[in-house]
Amino acid sequence: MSIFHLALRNLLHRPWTTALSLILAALGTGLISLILLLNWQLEQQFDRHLAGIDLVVGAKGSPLQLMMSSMYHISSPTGNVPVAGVKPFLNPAHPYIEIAVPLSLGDSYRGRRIVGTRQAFLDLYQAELAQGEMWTQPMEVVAGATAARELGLKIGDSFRSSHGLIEDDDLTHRDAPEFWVTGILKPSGTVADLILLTPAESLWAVHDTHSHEGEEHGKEHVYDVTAPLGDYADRSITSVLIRFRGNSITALNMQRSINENTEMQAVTPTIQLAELYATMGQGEKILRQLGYVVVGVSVLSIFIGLYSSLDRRRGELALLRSLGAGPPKLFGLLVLEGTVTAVAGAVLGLLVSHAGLAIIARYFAENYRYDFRTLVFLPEEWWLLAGALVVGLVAAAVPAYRASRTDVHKTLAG
Amino acid sequence: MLTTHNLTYSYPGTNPVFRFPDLTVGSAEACLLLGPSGAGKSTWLHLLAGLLTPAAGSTFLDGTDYAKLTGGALDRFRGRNIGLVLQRAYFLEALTVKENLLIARRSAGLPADEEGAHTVLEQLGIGPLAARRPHQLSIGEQQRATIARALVNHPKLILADEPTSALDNRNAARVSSLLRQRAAELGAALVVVTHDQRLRDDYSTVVELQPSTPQQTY
Repeated sequence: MSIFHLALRNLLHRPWTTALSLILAALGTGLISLILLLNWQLEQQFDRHLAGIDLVVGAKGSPLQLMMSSMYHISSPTGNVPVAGVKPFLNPAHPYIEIAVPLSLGDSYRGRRIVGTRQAFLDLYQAELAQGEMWTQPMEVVAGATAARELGLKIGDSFRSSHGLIEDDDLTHRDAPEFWVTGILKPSGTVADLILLTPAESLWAVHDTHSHEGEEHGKEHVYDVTAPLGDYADRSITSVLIRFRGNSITALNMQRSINENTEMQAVTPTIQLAELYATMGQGEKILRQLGYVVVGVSVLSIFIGLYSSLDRRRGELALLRSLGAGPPKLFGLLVLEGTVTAVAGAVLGLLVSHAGLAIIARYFAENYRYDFRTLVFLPEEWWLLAGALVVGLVAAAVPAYRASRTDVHKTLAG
Repeated sequence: MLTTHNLTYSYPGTNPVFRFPDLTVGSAEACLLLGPSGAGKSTWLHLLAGLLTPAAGSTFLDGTDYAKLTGGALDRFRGRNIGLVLQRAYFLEALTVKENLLIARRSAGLPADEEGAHTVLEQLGIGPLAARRPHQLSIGEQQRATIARALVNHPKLILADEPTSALDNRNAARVSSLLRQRAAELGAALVVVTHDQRLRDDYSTVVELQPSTPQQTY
């Protein structure tokens, strides 16, 4: 029957007041912690997939959309650009460009995006084959690790793609040739895990059958997937990811030049991300302040709960004094009641926010194929717990002081 | 063995000084302090309990003048050596009857003694109520539970403030005899303060407080 035990029993003795304080503390902590966690997760995801890309070149439109579709494979592409237009960037001998990765987007298989590209994609994301072989002709597919696992794809499997990025039977390219899985990548922790890779020509081949249907049956294009993509000057692709050699002045100059002189746009991902974070930061700030307000209300609730209990407990407190418990013990009893409520509330809040994150992670996994880590415990969360301790102390200080000053003689004689 | 000498008390900020007769109560002896309301009985009892600090005089219990103790030392001394039965039956409402006894030991810094607590409750005839909440007990049962709490630390002095005033004749007689019996068994000095004339015949030593006895000098 320690003081701690007594504090717990006192809290349970007035369950409604305790529950209210607990819920408010949990709400405040949960809100702040959920914001912290989401923020951390998003920045982690975005930064991880940056992969040293300096510039994204594609059709004019929303710069954010271009970046999202080409780098993160979220949202739809902005449109197509002619291969002729991006040909200079795809030249391996370009003096400023270290890697240029062409992308053809727009088709998918059961919700997983099919990305038409070149070997350079694997170099950019440092992806390696786990099994099978690299493609040697159109319609051959190398699957990302996560995509292969979740779609149950094995070497030698074949499938038909569908038009667009959502799972819809009506949009399946029924007359188009089938894709064949020739290789599966090792997990790399990048977007390469999440998608299905194929030579850029595959997408042309799929759409060739569409447009030529009924007219020129039998006339098939013959593609050489090892040839430079620039040779197909009359074709179009979605975008090009570029990593420069050397300094960023080149990047800025080239970006400005593309945006001013061509029908295409060039986007610097780091700047786009900084803008995105700034935009999210506004909403985040408001939510965080809301969290602080709720924490403030929970301080008030703990204070009122303890203070209003004092009148009823005057006799009890005097009794404890008469039994040999000194004023510091009474002070400690009420402080314990306050801090236990606040800390228990905070722990509850952290549990709820992590559960919330797990739910959001599932949503993200289903809709965007991104994997969130839900079992992280951020250092900031320790600070939240420490903060709860302070909150409990602050809320309990005045009632505890009054309790410690209980006049035993007056109370017991009265 | 309790001895008091020249005990006086004055309420802070007021002039009247209460003077209390000297008192000697041996181990296992009982003493009744009888007087009407307003005669300063509760003040006297609280002085004896160390809940109030006298203006002057001494209160010796087995050789320790606890009128000289202050703060934590006085709290500890009271918790270990003095059992209090109060006018109103106060309990820690969140705890069971038995836990109320255990917290008394804890507050005095004594080790938990579940068996001892149970024995005391049995002796007072409320063993079956050990797991109940105090508010579920009748007034008589509550008063016996407070006596049990006063006994659980094996004090050298037991002080009771109007222990029977709220009880009917049958319960009053029972509580009074239980108090004397248990105190004698523990070898504790027992001091009962009351205006309840029913108790007079039970005690060999009776100190009558007239309204004038705590002399008020102006």
